[in-house]
Amino acid sequence: MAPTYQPKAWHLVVVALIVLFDLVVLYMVLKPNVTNDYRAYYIDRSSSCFPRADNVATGYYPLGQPISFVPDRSGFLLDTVRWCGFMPPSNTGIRSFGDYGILRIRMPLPDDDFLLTFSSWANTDSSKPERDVQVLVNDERVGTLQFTSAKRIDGRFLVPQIVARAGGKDETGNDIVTIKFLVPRTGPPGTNSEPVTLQLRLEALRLAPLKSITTELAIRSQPIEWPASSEAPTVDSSAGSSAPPSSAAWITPKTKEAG
Amino acid sequence: MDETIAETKAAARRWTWRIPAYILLPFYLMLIGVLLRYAVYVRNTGHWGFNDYLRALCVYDCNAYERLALNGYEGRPSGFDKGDANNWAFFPFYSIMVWAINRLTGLSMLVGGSILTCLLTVWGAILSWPLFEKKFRAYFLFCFFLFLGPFSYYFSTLYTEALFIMLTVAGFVLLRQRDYVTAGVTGALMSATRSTGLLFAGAIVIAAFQNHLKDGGTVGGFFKTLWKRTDLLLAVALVPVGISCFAIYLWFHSGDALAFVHIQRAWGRAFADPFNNLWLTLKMQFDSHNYSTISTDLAFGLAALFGMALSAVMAWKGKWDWALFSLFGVLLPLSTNAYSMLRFVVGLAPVLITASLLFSRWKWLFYLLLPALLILDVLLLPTWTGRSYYLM
Repeated sequence: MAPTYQPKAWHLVVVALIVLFDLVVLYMVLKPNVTNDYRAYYIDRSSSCFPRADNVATGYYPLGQPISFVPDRSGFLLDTVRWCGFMPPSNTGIRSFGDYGILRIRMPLPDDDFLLTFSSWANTDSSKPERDVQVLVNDERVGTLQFTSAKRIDGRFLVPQIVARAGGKDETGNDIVTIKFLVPRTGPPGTNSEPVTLQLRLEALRLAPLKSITTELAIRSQPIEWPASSEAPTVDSSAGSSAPPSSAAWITPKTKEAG
Repeated sequence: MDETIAETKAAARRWTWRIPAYILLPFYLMLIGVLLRYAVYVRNTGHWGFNDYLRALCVYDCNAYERLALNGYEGRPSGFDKGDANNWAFFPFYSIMVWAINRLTGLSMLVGGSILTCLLTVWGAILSWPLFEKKFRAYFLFCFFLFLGPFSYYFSTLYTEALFIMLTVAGFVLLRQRDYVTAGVTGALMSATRSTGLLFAGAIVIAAFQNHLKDGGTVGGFFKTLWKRTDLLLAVALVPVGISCFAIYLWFHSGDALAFVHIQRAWGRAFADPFNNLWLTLKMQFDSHNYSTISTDLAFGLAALFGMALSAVMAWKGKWDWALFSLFGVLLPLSTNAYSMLRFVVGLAPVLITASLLFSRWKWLFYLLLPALLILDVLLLPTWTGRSYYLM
């Protein structure tokens, strides 16, 4: 004999209440109340890193001083400028992940052009195709690094004042300078849907007003050759050095004009 | 009809006589397991502190559940090297229970949580007895695996496997008894414990269909009488309530009701074709010409295959509610990544029960498996405490 069933009113009442409850949940699912950073990284997946909190990555940086990202090396051991897309400092420096890594500096800028210098290398070697890393300051490209081997490249870029100031100001009146390293994708996404990208390793960095550099060099009696024209910032990069960043010691075997 | 009603008086007496056996067995095995692993720990480390032993067992997600019970859900993500992780991925029900034990007894989260996990496993084992249809050898193997098997760590420290298995077993026993509404309440607790708890809604419908046929109904009759099945409607509606409560909490806490899904990006999880994920996982080590060892990826892939194969066995045996619950219990996490697949498969009660029923059919295999499981349990203790990815 086929089983028979008896509908119960209280079941329907409870179901109606659950449906109302589910509608509230549905509204919450469809209307997330989150920051743009959160939405871009976690929901849309349009960005490849989630910025560190402002009270951690404060952007504090004593202008002109070298920062070391490798423990036990000379230079300020600052982790206040590592903002997005770089892993914590280690023996190999700070390593980028995703499509880019961004350092963010917040300070009042003097009326001057700036020289951005840094020491970097990448997880590539001479058997692989050339990997170009774009360097952008406040989203303005200032140059390109060309990695053709595993050797260190010491970058030196001129940052015009107008570019350095293009990042706007924070609530306390500090200029915001973002230094973005745009790395190429080197492989298709794996099971985590994240594309495989070149991993840039920054060991040290310095952003200094040009006048102070000129003075510094004059004191050392080591003249530096500046770009012949003032049309666009010139990109100099060099390979093979193992010294910590010291602009005076850098050479320039590979150059690409910035756009 | 409830089969217990049809039992003869003699059978009822046997049943009564057997109660101590199936209830006491998990207790005994649990105690033996805890003492054995503690002895191995003392032998390996030279430390006698029982708290140190519990701390050593508490690796990976255990720490997350402990911190969740201690401090609740975290704020802005900042964990891991990428600075994008926090504990929103961890479902709340288990940690709420650990917190409640702490409040009631004053025991630390670690000690109270470990005791709770052990007792939940014992409870789950006892509740599972009706699902073995009086096949005591299979039941013994199931209990032995839980307490003295290579994955006993999940069932003795702060992990959700014990609670989830207990709830799953309770749910399927209730479905067997045609108590759909209570099964729905159990499903709500399952979905507050793990996302895969949601799959129990499907199991309820399938079990109701199968029960309808068993009770003499027809396929057409089931669909014709569906409008009268308010109990089924309520049961299915109840299952997502647990996860919905969590979503509401997260919306107020983080602004994102699906934060528990979105935060998975920190663990490299994103929805994709599970079968493609499985293929990539299985061939990964061979692509790099590694033919001499079993990498973690291959181990995860094999675990997924094992879970799917046993789901097929369940279907073959006519247990479609178990089969689809288990199959999707494997495919859902596999669709995001194969990582931790061993743990996800071991956390599926129907898989363990079916494996026990299958492997205990042959006495020689049963007696071979007992020492094998025991040896693996002992040998893998340092591997577990050493935070091996294999067992994660």
